Amino acid sequence: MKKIILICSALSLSACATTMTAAPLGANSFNKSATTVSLTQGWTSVPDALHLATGTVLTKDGMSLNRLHILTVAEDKTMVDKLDKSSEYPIFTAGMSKIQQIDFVKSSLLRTGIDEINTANVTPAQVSGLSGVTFDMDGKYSSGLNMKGRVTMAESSAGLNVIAFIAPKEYYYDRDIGEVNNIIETLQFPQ
Amino acid sequence: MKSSKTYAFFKLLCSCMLLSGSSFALADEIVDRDFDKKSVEAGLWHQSDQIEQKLNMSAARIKDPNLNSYINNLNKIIAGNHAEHIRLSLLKAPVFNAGILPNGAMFVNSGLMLRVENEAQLACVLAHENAHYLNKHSLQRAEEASKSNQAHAFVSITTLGFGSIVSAFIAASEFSNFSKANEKESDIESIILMGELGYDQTQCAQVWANIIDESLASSNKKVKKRGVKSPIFGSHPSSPDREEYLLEQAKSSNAKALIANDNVAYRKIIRPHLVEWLEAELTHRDYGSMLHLIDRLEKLGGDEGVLNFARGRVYETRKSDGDKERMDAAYLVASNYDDTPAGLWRSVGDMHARANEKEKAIAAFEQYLIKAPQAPDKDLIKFMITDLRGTP
Repeated sequence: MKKIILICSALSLSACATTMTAAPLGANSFNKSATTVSLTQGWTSVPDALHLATGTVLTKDGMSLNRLHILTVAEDKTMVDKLDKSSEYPIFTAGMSKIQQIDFVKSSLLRTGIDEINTANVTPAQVSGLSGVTFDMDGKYSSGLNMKGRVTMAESSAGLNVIAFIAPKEYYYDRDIGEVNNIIETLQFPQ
Repeated sequence: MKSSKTYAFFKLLCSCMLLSGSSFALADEIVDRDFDKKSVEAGLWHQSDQIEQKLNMSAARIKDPNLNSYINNLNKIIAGNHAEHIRLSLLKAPVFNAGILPNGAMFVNSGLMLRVENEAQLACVLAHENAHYLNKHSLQRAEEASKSNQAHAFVSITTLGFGSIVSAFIAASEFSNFSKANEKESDIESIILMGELGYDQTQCAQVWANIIDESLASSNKKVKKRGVKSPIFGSHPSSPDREEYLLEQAKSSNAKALIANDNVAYRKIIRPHLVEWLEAELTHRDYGSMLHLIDRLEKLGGDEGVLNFARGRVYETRKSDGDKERMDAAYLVASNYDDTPAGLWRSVGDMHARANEKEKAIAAFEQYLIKAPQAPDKDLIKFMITDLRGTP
């Protein structure tokens, strides 16, 4: 059913049953993950029915041009919606090593309209006092468009907290990455 | 995945059956594109062109010139005088499948190239696809569907940029819906061609025997349940039936196999891609199927480091009871071979670190950095080494 909703929404841009809502400037708390960030520019929250990931997805110009995932994946849960119930999806397990967490996030994002992901600059990071990791991505959307991305994540008692920015390599990534880095600076993951 | 209206048109487009044969005497009719633009055929060609364009832009395209050259040249031999109308591309897609669109665009998946054992088996598949194209099976099906109002509500997934076009292609291939009679006829015709070209005709049946065994080993209940049918093509003749009549046809044939089934030579061709294709198979999380495949590839010989590493990765990902010990054992075996990928040492280091075996973890991580000094995660690994050294 979700697939049909997604397709209808894309076909009929004005007649969607779900609506996008503006994320207010300033501090925002995303209830699904209890992650807070501060926004200084206009982002729009994409309704759950229009994206494949769990958690919140923000965009400025449409998901194919920029998208910011903010989510916490709880124990034994997936990062993406299980459209194919007969298949197994990557599942988060508490205590995963950072290498495994990277593999988990990468495998999950490959199910969100991205066909190729190469990681680079994988470095440890302290986020909200939690020991985490940040890495860059490059690859291709399923449409063939080149993409770039940046992921910052850290595990807490709430689960694996992730913020992931993905945009086309041409123009959009470079335009917005500075702002995304600022958002990450204000980030507070749930403990 | 469930069949849906969304994929209805793909049913008509993708003639993704294996081992169907055809009359190659029809070749001269194929190239005529001067048809009524309002016809079903025109629609098929138009949609095929769009899908081909999308697939060609996909990140899943395998660009290795050696591999492309080998398979394209093989297909030219098989296609004969209509070879110029076929455009064959290779896709990194961990599904045993190949397909051809009505406009002559043919795709072969890495999942298939990984599973066939030699050139004869690959030739069977290519002959099958060529046969569908020549017999215009897609057009027949489309015209039948058009008459019964089934060809409706086609939603162009390609134009939405939604989901993976390769996934859509793969999923749609599940619903290719040619008649069993068409399939059997095509199977027989392609095996006859195999004989004419000097290939061992029994290899066509062997492809199906392998598919059956792998399906029965699957961890996916749906695949296992369909194990007596093709794992991909729900409405095709059952796999055991196909194996049976293909073997029967081969045995009753007077054609002599002039080309040896050289498994070693074929493996050499795909060797550069083994690590990547096996890792891609993990995305399915069908652990039973993957372990069965690894076992079968191992029995064919060679690449022990790569295959044992892949085996370890399955246990590492599956995490069932006893899998840690199995993973340890597989990685230990892999570490003794020169062809083992650098990633083994990262996995081994990670495994030891999680078990608080610091010295072993440090040793493994250092080995990883020696083998892959420019690894994208080298900074993380260096940090982990420092962290392991620092903590009491």
